[in-house]
Amino acid sequence: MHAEPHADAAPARASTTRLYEVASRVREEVLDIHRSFAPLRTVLGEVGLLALNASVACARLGQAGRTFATVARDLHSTSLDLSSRIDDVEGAFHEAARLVVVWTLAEGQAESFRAAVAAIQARNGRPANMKGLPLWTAEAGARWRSRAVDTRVTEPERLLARLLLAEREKMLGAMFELTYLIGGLERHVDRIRWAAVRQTRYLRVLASIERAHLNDQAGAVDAVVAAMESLDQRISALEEAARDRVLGLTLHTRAFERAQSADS
Amino acid sequence: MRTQTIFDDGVRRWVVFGRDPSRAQQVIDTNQYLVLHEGKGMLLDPGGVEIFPPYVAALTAEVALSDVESIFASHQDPDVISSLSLWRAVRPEVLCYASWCWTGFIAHFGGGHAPIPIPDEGGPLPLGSSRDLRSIPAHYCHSSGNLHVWDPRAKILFSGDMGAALVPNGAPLFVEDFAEHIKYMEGFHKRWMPSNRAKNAWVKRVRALNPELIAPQHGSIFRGADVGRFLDWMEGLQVGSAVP
Ligand SMILES: [Fe+2]
Ligand SMILES: [Fe+2]
Repeated sequence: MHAEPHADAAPARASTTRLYEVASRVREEVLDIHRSFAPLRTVLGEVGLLALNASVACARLGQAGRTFATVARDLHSTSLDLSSRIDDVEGAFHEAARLVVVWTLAEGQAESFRAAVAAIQARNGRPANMKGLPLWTAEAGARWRSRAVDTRVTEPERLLARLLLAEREKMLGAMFELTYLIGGLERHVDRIRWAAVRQTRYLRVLASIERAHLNDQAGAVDAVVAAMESLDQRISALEEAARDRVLGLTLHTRAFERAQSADS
Repeated sequence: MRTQTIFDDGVRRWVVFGRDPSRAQQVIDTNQYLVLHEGKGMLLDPGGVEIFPPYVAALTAEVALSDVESIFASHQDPDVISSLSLWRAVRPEVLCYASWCWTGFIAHFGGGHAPIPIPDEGGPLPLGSSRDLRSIPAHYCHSSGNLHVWDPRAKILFSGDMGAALVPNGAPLFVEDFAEHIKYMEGFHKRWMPSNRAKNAWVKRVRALNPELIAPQHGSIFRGADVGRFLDWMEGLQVGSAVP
């Protein structure tokens, strides 16, 4: 965990710093987290395929396979259901990636404008008096706003101050949006995890029960049941891996919410 | 214990057991349902330890124990499923289904193993050769992991504690005067149901199913026009009364 805000800092500034720290960690992790959910898509494809195999096995069994067909049908609707949920999450991750880019670009631009102001000040033999104050702080915002209309400084400095402020707005906007997005994402991902684990497990149990009813006539069904078992194990392993990720996200989001309420 | 068939098309049959005059008075009255498909049975909320003896006696007049395939628990309450270990003792092969929320808790009632965990979305409940019975979500109505059973063939919804009424001894099996019946269920729903949002979602889901009977675990069964009356009444009710 990062250090608590300095005791000597002003409270408003301390919580904004905290806010920025938390959001920065979210930014670093968002792409990484996205990658870690990619195997879900693969597993999902297998659920769909398995549903197809199960239907084929049922069709081969004719009348005897009629009962097993319920499992196949539910497996199919489970895979569709999970697929649409994963679509939602992927959409959200794409949006998150876009916000990360907007934020990072804006931050870079703003830093360049600030460096340009410092260079002008150095050229004119004045001390670089706007250095060292983090851009995201309210205090920095206020100082640059007054700089932008300060007639005692040169026109290029005022222009650069205005440009810097515009980039700062973009940067903060993207940062807030990203963190809200992550808050919603956490719930989405959580639902997928639970649904994937519990729905497939329930169907796996039903499949074994159905298999027991079929006695020896149903070799084709055995392959389906075995595949469901291995799928169940793999989804469980994925779920465990995802749990840590989601926990990390949750901690960040909660910290962000806390910092935000301290800030307001 | 009284026994009455509430649906029978020659293949599927629903039987309700309850209104036991010899019941110990400290025990809340419950309805036990048996669903039969071509003679194979599933017990819905088989009840507590106290009513096990009269229930077994009444049940075996309708179905052989060896034909009881499964038990469904709508939630974890003692009046729903505390008899589980006794059922496992008389019928070791019986399958028990319950919400994943409660399997580890229900295992405390004994019987050696936890129920099969049903996901939040519900799912099929095999019975005999039939595969049309389904558990459907009724979470927070009243338990956090709550499921009801929908039978599309009989158009019966087993609704657990939704629609439950604390009726006096000798009350009719079916609701006869809805306005009169409200007083037996109002207090129960206001206090035992925690969430207006969950309750309204349930009403919406049940309306879409369009059941002919709503069969609760306590009190009288709703049929025909009383189904709609009950859903309308439920929709208008403010629940969660213990929080001012
Ligand atoms: Fe209950
Ligand atoms: Fe109950």
